[in-house]
Amino acid sequence: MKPILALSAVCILLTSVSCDSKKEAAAIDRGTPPATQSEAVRQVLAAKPSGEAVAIPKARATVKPGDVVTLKGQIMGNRAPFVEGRAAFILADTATLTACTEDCGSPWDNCCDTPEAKKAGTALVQIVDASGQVLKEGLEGQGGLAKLAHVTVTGKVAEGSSPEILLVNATAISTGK
Amino acid sequence: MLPFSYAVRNLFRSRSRLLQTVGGSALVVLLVMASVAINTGMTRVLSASGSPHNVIFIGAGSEESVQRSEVPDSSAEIAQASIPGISEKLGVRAVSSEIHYMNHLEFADGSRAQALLRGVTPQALRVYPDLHVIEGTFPKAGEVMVGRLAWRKLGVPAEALKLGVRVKLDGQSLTVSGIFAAPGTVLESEIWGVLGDLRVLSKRETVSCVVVRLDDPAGFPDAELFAKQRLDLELSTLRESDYYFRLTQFFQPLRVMTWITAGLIAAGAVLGGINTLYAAIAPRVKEMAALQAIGYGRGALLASLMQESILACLTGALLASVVAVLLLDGVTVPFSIGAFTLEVGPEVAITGIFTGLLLGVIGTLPPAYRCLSPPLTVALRSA
Repeated sequence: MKPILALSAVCILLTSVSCDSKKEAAAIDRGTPPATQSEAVRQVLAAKPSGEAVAIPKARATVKPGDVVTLKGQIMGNRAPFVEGRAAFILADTATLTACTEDCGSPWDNCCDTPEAKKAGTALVQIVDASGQVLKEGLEGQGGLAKLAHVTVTGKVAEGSSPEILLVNATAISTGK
Repeated sequence: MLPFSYAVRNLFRSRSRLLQTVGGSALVVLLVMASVAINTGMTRVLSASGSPHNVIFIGAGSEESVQRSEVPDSSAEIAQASIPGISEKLGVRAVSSEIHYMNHLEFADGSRAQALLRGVTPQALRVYPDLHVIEGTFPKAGEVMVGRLAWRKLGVPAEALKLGVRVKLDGQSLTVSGIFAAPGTVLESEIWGVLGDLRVLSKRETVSCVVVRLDDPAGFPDAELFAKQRLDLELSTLRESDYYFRLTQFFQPLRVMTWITAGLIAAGAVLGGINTLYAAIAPRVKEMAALQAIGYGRGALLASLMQESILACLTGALLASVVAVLLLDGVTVPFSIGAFTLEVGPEVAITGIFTGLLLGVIGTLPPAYRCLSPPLTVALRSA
């Protein structure tokens, strides 16, 4: 009886202090932003992609700024494939990159693929306003856009794109294989 | 109710038992206060180290360790030109290329200690505006400046890192040109050298990270967008505050160990304390029975016993608080990435008082039960 009571007291003390860490963990998990869809995003998500999809590695080598291109892939290639609070996400080529599935908490980061393959097989898809600025609106959770979602995108290759970087200003996005 | 003076008088029936109770509770309370001070101290220094204004660009895949991270040297320049909202003073934007490097420093007396070195440019002072050179100057090639708590972290005398002293890193002699303060942060335990020197000494062509200071923390998405638009640079974006928060999580097991150690020692002390209270209360079965016989209820007797016990334990808590203020307050404790100062503040003091109170209540219940539970007739005849 005596030792049990004493140990209970110590346990109460210990647990009362360790609870703080849960609050802190909740603070860092910013979660999915609420979907307040702007007209521009709604239009892009409602439009149907057109044209034949080109593989991302091939597109990187062949397209130039101003070209219209259609890409097909999966939202992955990074620990955080969506940009927090901005209308942009990373699209990855499914032929060269594979989401890690074995005991992986974040398969969308493609930790099983080499950095070189990730570099060659990814593109940034963004939705811009009339002045060319990326919209200040997160896309995660909108119109079925989620990590590892299969996506087809049609858009204009943005200024600054090169064989090393592929940026696409999307005009149509659809989800599904 | 029994008068309070009855409880006070009973306390002094056996001075040796009183001393044991006070001493035991003082030990438990002191341990709990030390644990709270260590935990809050470590959390405080890690939280204060990360500014929400600062964004760290780190090599993708190296988010857990800046030292392993590889970031192209050109990243700082590209970031400076591309990210809107970077703090700017006198035309200089707050962007700092850094090399974080851990290696052994050799001191004049031949002793060695593992130090956290940071290779920086003068622009670092714009990224960390709370950092001030308090003695000497910002380092030039062949020089280092040391945080004012670095000696404590390295476990060397303060004189080993004073101005003008020479230390060796990988056989290279470096002179201490300055001492800096960055109150309440782990930076104070670091040693800063010139980026070029650290690049040579760490034998790397890249930097560990680029730190950017934003005017408004809400501009973080622009920094993140930059990293995603420049996938060729293979950067990950972290808020500096999140980076240090992760470190806080990393040190969670260490903090839990502090609690477990304190808990185990405290458990022993609590058991000893309960034994003492048993010895003080249990033989008073007849006395309690007599008080019941003249009209005092069991509740009133229990309250009186608790008053005795709580008084003794709170005296112990008071003693522990005095010891904590004298011996713990202001003590610098080193840990793997820095050092923090123990503070016996309101949080620690309240925890100590609460612990003393809890000990008094819990310690009374078992012996009081034994003392008050027998039927009156049996209790009156007991030896």
